[in-house]
Amino acid sequence: VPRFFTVGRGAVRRGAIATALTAVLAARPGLAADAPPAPAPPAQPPKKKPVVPEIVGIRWEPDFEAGLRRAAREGRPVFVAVNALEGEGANEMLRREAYPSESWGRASRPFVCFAANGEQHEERKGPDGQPACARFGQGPCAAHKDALVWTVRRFGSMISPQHAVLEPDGATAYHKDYFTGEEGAPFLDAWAARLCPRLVARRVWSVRDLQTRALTEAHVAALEVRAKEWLASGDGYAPAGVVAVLEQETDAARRAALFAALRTAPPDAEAALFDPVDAATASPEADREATAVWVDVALAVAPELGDWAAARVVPRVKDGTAWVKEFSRWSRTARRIAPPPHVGRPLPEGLRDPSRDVRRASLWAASPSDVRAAREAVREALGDRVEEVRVAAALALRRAGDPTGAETLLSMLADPVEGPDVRRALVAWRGEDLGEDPAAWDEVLRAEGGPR
Amino acid sequence: VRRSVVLSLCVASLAAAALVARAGFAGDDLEELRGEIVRASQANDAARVVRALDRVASMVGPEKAFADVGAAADWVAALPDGVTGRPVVQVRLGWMYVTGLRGPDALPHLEKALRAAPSDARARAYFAEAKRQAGEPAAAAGELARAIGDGVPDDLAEWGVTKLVAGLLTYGKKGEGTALPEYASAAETVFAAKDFPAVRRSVALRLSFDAEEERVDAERSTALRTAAVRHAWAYLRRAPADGESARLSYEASRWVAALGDARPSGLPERFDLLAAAVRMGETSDPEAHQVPEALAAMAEEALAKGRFVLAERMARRRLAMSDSPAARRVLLRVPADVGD
Repeated sequence: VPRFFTVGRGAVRRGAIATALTAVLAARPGLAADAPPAPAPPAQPPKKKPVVPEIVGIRWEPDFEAGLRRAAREGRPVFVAVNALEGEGANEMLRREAYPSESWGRASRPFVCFAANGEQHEERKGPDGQPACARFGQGPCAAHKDALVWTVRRFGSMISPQHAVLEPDGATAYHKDYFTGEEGAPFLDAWAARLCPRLVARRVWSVRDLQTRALTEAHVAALEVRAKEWLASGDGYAPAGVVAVLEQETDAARRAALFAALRTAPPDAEAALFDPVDAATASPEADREATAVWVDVALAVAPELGDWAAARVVPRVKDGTAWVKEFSRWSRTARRIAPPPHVGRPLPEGLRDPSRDVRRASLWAASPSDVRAAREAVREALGDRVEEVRVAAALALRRAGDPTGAETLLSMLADPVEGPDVRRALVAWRGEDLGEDPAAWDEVLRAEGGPR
Repeated sequence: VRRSVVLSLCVASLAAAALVARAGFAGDDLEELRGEIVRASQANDAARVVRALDRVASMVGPEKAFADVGAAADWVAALPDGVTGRPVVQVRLGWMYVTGLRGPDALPHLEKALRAAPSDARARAYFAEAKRQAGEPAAAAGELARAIGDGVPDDLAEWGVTKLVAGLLTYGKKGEGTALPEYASAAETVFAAKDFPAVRRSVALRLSFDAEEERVDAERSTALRTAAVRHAWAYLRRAPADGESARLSYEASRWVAALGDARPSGLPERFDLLAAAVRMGETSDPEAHQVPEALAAMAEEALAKGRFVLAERMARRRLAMSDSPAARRVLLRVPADVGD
C-alpha cells in the first residue's frame, strides 16, 4: 500500500504537490536536462525458461483433426488407443502402466497418438501448461471424444480396449479389439519401420545407439555376423539400422559385408530398402556395381521390390551388352515385367503381352487385314486399362473399316478426363489438330481411308 | 449520517422523477406518433407512414416504449383499419412480427400484402421466414425460391436460406427410405433458384455425416451419400482454390469411393474429385501440398485408370513431402519404363 494512503491527509497533499512538480519539470526540457542522470536500473535477473516436464510415456495429441493432418504432412503413422471402459481391468492396466511407461513412450515417438474416450473428466493443468483431461494427463477431453467418435465410425466397434494403426495417408494398417498382449514397444517399432522408414532411419542412431555403434566399430571380419545377428533379432529397426550404417560406409569390404547381411533380412525390410533401391535404379549407369547389388538384395529380401528394381534398370541402361551378366541373372523377373519397348509382336499374341508398349506397338504395326483377322481380340483391347492401348485399338479398328473404332474414339474425345490425351494421340495420327470440338473430328474419323 | 440520508433521498427523488418524465415523454411520443401515422395515411403519403413506422421500430428496447419488437407490432396492429389495411403497413407489420419470432402472427398481414403485390420479393422473403417460424419448412423453401426469382436482395435471400437450413439441421425431420432429410430437400428447393455456396457446403458435409450414421441401411445411405457428393461437386466448381476446398474435395472423393458400383451416372468420379483436390491444394512451394493424402489417393486412382505417368508423378510428389506407404505401393506397380 503506498505510504501516503496510510499517514493522513497531509501526506496525500504533499504527494500530490510532489507529483505535480515532477510533471512540470518533466514538461520543460531545459529543467529536465539540468537534472542529474537517473541511476541505472538494477540488472534484471535472467528470465528462466519455463520447464516443461518430460513426458516419458505416450504423448497424446491435443487435437484430433489437427493431429491427422500432422500425420499426413510429416509422414507419421497414427496410433489410436481406445480406452473408454473406465474401471475395467485391461483398460486401467493399459492407462496406468503401459501407456505411461518409457518403453511404450519411446516406441510411440514416430507416431501421432490418440487416446479415445467418451467421458468428460476433471480438467487440470497439463505438462505443457494447457488444460488437460485428468484421466490421461494430456490434451483436453474433447480430443479424446473426437477420437472415439472417429474410431467407432471407422471400425464400427464399441469394444474397449481397442488399438489401431493407420498409415500417414489414413489407410488402416492394423486394427484389433481387446488387448491380448500383442501391442507393445516391439509392435510399435515394427509398424514404424514398415510405415515410416525414413523417420526410423533418422531415429535409429539415437534409439539404437548401441547396435549402430557396434556395427560402425566392428572389425570387417565380424561385421557381417554382427549385422546378421541384429537382423535376426526381430528388432523392427534392424533393417533401417543396417541400411543407415551401410549408406555412410565408404570401405568396399565393409559395404560388401553389410550387403551380404542385408540379403538375410526378413521380408518386412522392404520398406527400409525402398529408398536406396529406388535411388540406385533411377540412374543405374551412375554406379553400376552398387545398382546391381541393390537389385540383388531386393530380389533376395522382397521379390516384388526386386522385380520392380530389375525392371527399372532394363530400359534405363544405354548399352545392354555391359549388363549381360546382370540381365541374365534377372531375366526371370525383369524381362517378364519390362520387355524392351521395340519388341512388337503380331496380333493377337502381342495383345496378350503384359507390357503396354508391346500391346500398343502390335496394334500400331498391324495391317487392316491383320486387324480384321483378329477383330475380337482388338475389340477386347478397347477395354484395356491403359488409355494409349485403347486409342491404338480404336484406330486399328477404324483402319480396318470397323465403325466401332470411330465411335469409341469420339466417345473418348468427349470424356473430360481422357479427352485431352486422346486428342493428342489423334493429332499425332493425323498430323493436324482439329480442335477441342468432337464434331470437327467426327467427320474425319467416320470418313473412309485417311492417313495411317 | 443525516447528511447521507438526505443525499440518498435527493438522488432517489431525482431518479424517480426522471423515470416518470421518460414514461410521460414515451406516452406523449406514442400519441403523437399515432396521430402522425393516421394523418399520413389519410394524406395517402406512404413515405411519411414508413418514416413514422421506423420511429415505432426505434422505440423498442430496455427502458423504451416497447419491451420487444412484437409488442411494437401489436401496437401498430391496433391502429385503425384505414392504416393497417395499407400494404406498406402490412409488410412492416409482417417484418416486425418475423423479427420478434412471431411468424404465425405475421402470416395474415404478409398474405394480404402479397395479395396486393404478388411480386413484392421482400415481402415474400418475410413470408417465407414467417412460414418457417410457423413450422412449414417446405412451404418456406418454396416461398423463398419464389422471392429469389422475383429479385429479392442477396443479403435477405442468404439470411433466409441460412435460417431455414440451419433450423432444419437441428430440428428438421430425418426422412425415411431414400427420401432426403428436410434440411436437404428445403435447400435443394432454394438452390434451384439460386446457389448459396456456404450453405451448400454445410449441406454436403451434413449429408455425408448422416450417410455414415445410416450405413446399416445401404439404400438410404447410398441416397444420402449421392446427394452429398452432388452438393459438394456443385460447391467445388465455384469454390476458391484453398486448403479447405481441397480437403472437401478429397473427402468427397472418399464418399464416391464408398458408393462403389452404386454411383449413379452423372455423378463425378473419384478421379475428378481427387484432381480438384490436387489442384486446389497447391501451394507456392511446388514440393508442398495442403492435402498430402490427396496426392497419394490420386496416384492410386491414376494407376487404376492406367494413367501411369500421372500416377508416377503424384506418387513421387507425395514421397517428396514425407513418408507414404501408399505412394510406395503405387510406384511398385507403375510400369518400369515410366518416370525419370
